[in-house]
Parts: sequence; structure tokens; C-alpha cells
Amino acid sequence: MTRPIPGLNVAPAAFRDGPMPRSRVGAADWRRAAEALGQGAATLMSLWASEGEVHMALHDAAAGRIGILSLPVPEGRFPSVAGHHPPAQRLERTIADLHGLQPQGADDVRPWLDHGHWEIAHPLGAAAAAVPRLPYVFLPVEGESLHQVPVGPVHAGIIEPGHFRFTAQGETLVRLEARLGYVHKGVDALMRGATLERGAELAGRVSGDSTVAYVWAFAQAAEAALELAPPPRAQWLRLVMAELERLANHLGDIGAICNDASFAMMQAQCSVLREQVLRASAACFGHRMLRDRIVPGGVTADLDAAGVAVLRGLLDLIGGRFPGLVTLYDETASLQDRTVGTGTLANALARRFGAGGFVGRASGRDFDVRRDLPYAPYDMQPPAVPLRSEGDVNARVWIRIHEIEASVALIRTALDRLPGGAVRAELLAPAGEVEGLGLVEGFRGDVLAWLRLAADGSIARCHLRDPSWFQWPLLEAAVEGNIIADFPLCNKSFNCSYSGHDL
Amino acid sequence: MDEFFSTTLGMFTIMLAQSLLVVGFVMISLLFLVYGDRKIWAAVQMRRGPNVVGAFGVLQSVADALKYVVKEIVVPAGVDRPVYFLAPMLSFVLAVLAWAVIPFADGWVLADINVAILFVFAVSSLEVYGVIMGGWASNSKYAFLGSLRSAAQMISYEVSLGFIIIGVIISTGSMSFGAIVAAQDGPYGLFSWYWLPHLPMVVLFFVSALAETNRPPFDLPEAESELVAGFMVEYSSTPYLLFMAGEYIAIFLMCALMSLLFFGGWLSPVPGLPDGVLWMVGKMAFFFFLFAMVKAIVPRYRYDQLMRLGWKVFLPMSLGWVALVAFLAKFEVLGGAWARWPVGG
Repeated sequence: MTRPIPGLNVAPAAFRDGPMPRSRVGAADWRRAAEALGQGAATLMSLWASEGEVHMALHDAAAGRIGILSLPVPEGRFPSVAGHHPPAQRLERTIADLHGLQPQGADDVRPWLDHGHWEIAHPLGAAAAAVPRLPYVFLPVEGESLHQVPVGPVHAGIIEPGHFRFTAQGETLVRLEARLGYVHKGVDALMRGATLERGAELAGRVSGDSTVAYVWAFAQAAEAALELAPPPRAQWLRLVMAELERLANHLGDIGAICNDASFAMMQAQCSVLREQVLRASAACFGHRMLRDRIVPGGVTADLDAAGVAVLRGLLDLIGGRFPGLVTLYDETASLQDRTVGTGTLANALARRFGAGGFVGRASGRDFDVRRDLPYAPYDMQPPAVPLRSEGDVNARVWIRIHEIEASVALIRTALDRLPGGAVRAELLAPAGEVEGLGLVEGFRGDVLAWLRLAADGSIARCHLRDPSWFQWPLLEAAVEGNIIADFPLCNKSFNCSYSGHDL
Repeated sequence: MDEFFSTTLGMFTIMLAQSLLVVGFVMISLLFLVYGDRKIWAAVQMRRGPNVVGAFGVLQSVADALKYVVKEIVVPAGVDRPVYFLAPMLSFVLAVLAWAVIPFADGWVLADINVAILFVFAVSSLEVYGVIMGGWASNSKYAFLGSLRSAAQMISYEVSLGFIIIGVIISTGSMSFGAIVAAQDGPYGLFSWYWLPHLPMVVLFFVSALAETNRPPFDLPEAESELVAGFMVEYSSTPYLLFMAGEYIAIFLMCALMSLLFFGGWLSPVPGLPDGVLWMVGKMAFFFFLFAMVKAIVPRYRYDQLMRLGWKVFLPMSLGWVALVAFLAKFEVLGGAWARWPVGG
């Protein structure tokens, strides 16, 4: 029996309503929380640092509590969480890179985002002159007749940069180690001192395909900190935008996964539907990817009657064409030969890493922020959350298929229930230094935003955590034992964000 | 004039003219095959395909060929130059060479030899050398891996192709294409052709032909998402053109073999209509259309699946069929549907 983690005391229904309290803990409690995480007592939502402190956001689904633990680190060292709970590993390495705070007892202390090309070391901490980095050492692999295949960071195709180090025995993969950080943009540093408006713009540019989810999470954090409730119409419009984003990405993904099995016809069909979604988004809200349409306090674009008609037309189009594509996917036996049983992610690993989105839900982790930590307007209209336990590429495709169906239903409901009124509320000045937490289900999974506003209303610290942080390591696990040729399929079925992760 | 054609020089001239005619036919077909292939692929993907050069883009292949020819040949560092340049030439020449024994109509053949099938297989099995040499000489591990895959794949499926053809040879009692087509000439038109008695092998032959020519869904040697472009990755310009042309010519050859072995070659499908070259060309075009459609609508197999299919499914099936056909032919089952010659004799 694991003891409850101290400091986990916020009810899920309450954390978006007002400033998010943090529990300041000592090193012993911090360590205890890490151990509890390692035993599976809670899910790690994020791990980050601010001036002189490290923070850990946790979710205890059984107890129905979430919370943020903060540990002061006056000497620049903190007890490693990763030593007990591996999902924290890369977050800790990032803290060390950005803030210079060292995790004590960590197994892996190699740099992560800092590739040795930054002009200063620890840009968010006590900035120091950059020290020359030793060449990056990949994890050792031992065994008979192994060979390595380095792939990337530049890839053949329009995808983001990331390096993959494959170690294979013959065609079979023995280990994959990813090295990321090539698209580090310094968003955390840019956020410091920025206005809320500028902060929202930055948040929307962290990961282009999830711009709605990011800004919504950011807006939630800001609205919680300022105790501001956006108008109901704005909430419903946000839902429409978020579901449009999910539709566009899932359609694109399904096509791209099939294309990696050289089934280009499916990609062509899916691309056409995705393009229709983007065009409808542009027609209704003025931007294909819906960038900068959500701001703290509401939305910048309203939906008129013509827009509603466009969206209804879009839903009819998808409703008419998509089932045929699903049948095509399901009945193409040689495609199923490629996707079924490929890139299997064990359920236990998905649970341990708190894998969000289709990655988790295809591996038996029944979690969707929209349903389990609901926010307006999903609290009034929870989505159908598909679940599978096979954990292979096929399961991830099917989760996407069902989520497309659910998104279409959600948008239909939203259009029916769309209330009238204003779409944007006036932002108030904060009552001193305030903090807020936002959590939104993007198409990839849960996007977390934690925000601290200074008394003058500017951003003192903003932490954005992409779902990919807990998915990239799982990709490495899922491809083991597969052949290199199946990596594109596995990778696309995970579709982790490089930009969102590298920040 | 007749006197001239009976001299050595005269016979040589005739042979040269005939050869040029066949090569010309193959090369011009090639231009339109590539165009057709792209158009079909595009249509399946709801694209327009080539539509700029010439009416409906028909001259796109000409423009592409010209571009390949006039582009600079980029030779990567560290390549084995003689082998590097020999490989595409070998691929191309061997692909064209096999056409020497392919008849287009009764008597319309460059060399009417009585072991034509053996010749075709001897030549096309050499094509794998072009691939291996290209991959090895390129000094690139991706090219090398691609060529190894290709070699294994081509050899695997050649075995089943060989067995499939043995069935046809047993039924005909000859290895000459002329005899094979003649044996299919019966009173029931297209129902007299070999596709009916040899139906399972028609399917196997078609699939093996896809694999043998490295066509999708068996284009693993150049699986672009994994191996960039396989053994061809370091080739550009004319050498690349030769590889590509060789590949398409080999595909077209498979179409010719399909129509000769199972679909009556130049025979008319309807009794009473005249036989002729148009039937042969039409059938070849139809099979090429099937090749193009398969490329467009079937996802790529994984390498281990491909090898499993070749060795564990196709090989036993085709071997078993040879034994079965031998039995059916010997005892003239169904009035000798599997034996069109005096087997017992």
C-alpha cells in the first residue's frame, strides 16, 4: 500500500478556477513523492524549474487530486526524480541545461537540449559563459554482430530535425536512441517579461500543428491566475477550433501512416479531407491552422451564420467520405500486414510514462483530459474516448479513426448549442504575483501550461510541456525487436512533436 | 536486290534493321509506359499527373529523357568507376536483349530459337548483376543494402517463375514462344488459352513478375522511406536513366510474357476475328495497366514478408503445380486441356 503523496490537494474541478497553489516541500517529501511516482501511485504531469526552485506537477487519478510540489534548491542541487521514475529523466536533463540545477542521484546526466552551440550556459539560471561540450556519447550497446545506422537530424522529407541512432542486428532493431533539441527556440526565455498577448503568440508558435491546444492551455493558465472566466460563446468556439485542429491532424496522420507503407492512395484521399478542414478553418476563423485565434480572455474570431454553414458542410463531407476510407484501411489486407503487431507499446509502459493521446489510449491508458480533468465546455459535452490495448500501429490508427468520429460529433453539438454573446472578456490586472495551471487535450495528448504572472501583469515564468516528452522515450521502446524498415511506420504512428519538445 | 540480301552484309543489314525496329518499338513504348504509369498513379491519388509538356502532357517523358541525357553526371567520391558505369549499361542492355526472342505476331520475331524461354530467363537472371554492381560500386551503405535486398528478391522469385513456366512447357512440349502460342489456338477462342487450365499459376506469375521487376508493392530495393532510392541512390543523369529504362523495359517484357504464355499472344480472343500484332500489343498494354494499378493501390510489403511469400508460399505451390500438371498431362485429363501434344508418344 503506497502512502498518499504529500501536497497533492487540489481537486481536478477546481484548479482552473483560480490561482494554482503549490505545496512547498522539503527534500525528504520530494524524495518520497519521487518514490511514490516510481511505485505508480501517481502520474508525473511535468517537472520544471523556476528561480531557485524545482516543481513537479502530479496527478493522482485514484484519489482524484492534482498538485504541484515545489522544492527550494538554494545550492543548485535537488534529489533526482528520474532515479526512481525514468519518465522524469529528460525533463531533469533539460532543467540542468536551462537552469544549471543538478539532479542528485540521476543515472543519466548527459546534456539534452544544449548541444554545445549556445553562447551561454544555463540561460534561465545563473547564466554563465558556455563551456565547451564533449562529444555526445550515445548509450552503449553490446553484443555480437551489431551495427549502427545514424539517421538525421536532416531527413528526406518535410519533417522536423531529430537524430535517431539505430543499433541493429541484421535487420532487427536492438536499440534506438533519439537525440533531440535541434529546434530549441528558447521559448521559456522569450516568455520572461513578455506581456500576456505576446505570451499567447509565443505559446501558439511552440508546435505549429498544436497551436490551438497550446494557446488554449496558456489561456487557461492565465485565466486561472487572473480568476477570469471567458464568455461561454468563446469557450464553445475554442472547442470548435480544438476539434478542427484534431480533425486536421488525425486525417493527415492516418494518410501519412499509410503512405509509410507505400499506400499513397490513402494519403491522397486523407490529404484532400485535411485540406477541406484547413480551408473551412480559414473561411470561418481567418487562419488555416487557427493560429492566434485564441487569446487569454476569449477568442479573436467569431463565427457567423455563413461560417456555421461552412462547418456543417465540412462535417457532412467528412461524414460522407471518411467511412469509405476506414473500410479501405480495414479491408486492405497487405496494409494490415504492416500495421498489425508492428511497434507494440506495452500497456504497463504507457501507464508508467503517463503517455497521453492516441499513444496512451492505444495501449490501454484510459485518460483524456477532456473527460477526466474536464474544462469548459467539455464538462457539459464530454467526448467519447476510444480505448484499445494492443498498442501497435494499427491500434493507434484506430484510436485516431474513432477520435475523428468523436470530433465530428462534438463540432456538430457545439454548432447546435453555440450560445450568443461576447467572445472576449477584458483582462484584469493581477492582484500581485499570481500563478495558474492550464491543461488541454491537444491532438497528441495533454498539453500543460504553468504560468506565473508578475504584479505588473507581465509573465514572470511560463512552462509549457508537450505530450511528446512522455511519448518519445516510448517510441524507442516500441520499435525494439522490429526491423528498421518499420521505423517510419512506428514513428509516424506516434507522431511526436520535435518543436514542442525542444521548445 | 535479292542477291544483296543473301550476302553476309545484306543479312547483317536486315538483322540490323529488324533489331532497330524492335528496339525502336520498345523505346517508344517506354516513353508512353512511363507517361501512362504516372497518369494512372496520379488519377488514383486524385492528381492530374503530367499535363504541361505536349497535349495532356504526353511529351513529358520525352522532356524527362532529354533532361536526364543533358544533365551532368555526378560521380560520387570513392566509387569504383568502371563498375559504376558498367552497371546501368548492363541493366539496360540485358533488358533490351531479352526482346530478341519475343514474337509480336506469327513469325514476327528477331530470332525464332527453339529455346526462347530459356533465353529470356538466362538474360533476365543476369539483370541482377547490374543491380549488385551498381550497389557495390556506389560506395554507399544504403545503395549496398538496397542491392543486396534486390539480389535476394530477384533470385527468390526467379525460382518460382521458372517452375510456373515449366508447367506451360509441359503442356506445350516446346520452349518456343511460337509453339506455345500455337498450342493455345483452339476452337473456343480465349477459353482455349492457357490462363484457364493454368489459372492459379497466372496469379502467381503476375505477383512474381511484380517482385522480379522490383515493382511496388515489392519495390523494397528502392523503398524510398527506408533506403532512399536503394541501389540507384548514387546515380544521376544518364546512368540513372539507363537503370530506370531497364526497369520499365523489364516490366514490359513481363507483360509480353504474360500474354504469350497464358493469354494466347497474338491470337484473337473471339473465334473468327483475325489474329495479329494488335492483339499482342493490346494485351501487353492491358497487363501494364494492371502493373500500374497494383503500384497505385497496394501498400508495400515488408522485406521478411516478401521473402516468406516467395520461399514458403510461391515456391511450394509452383513446384506442386509442376507435378500436378505432369500428372494431368500424362493422363490427358479433361480431353488433354493440360497436354496439347502427344505426351504419351
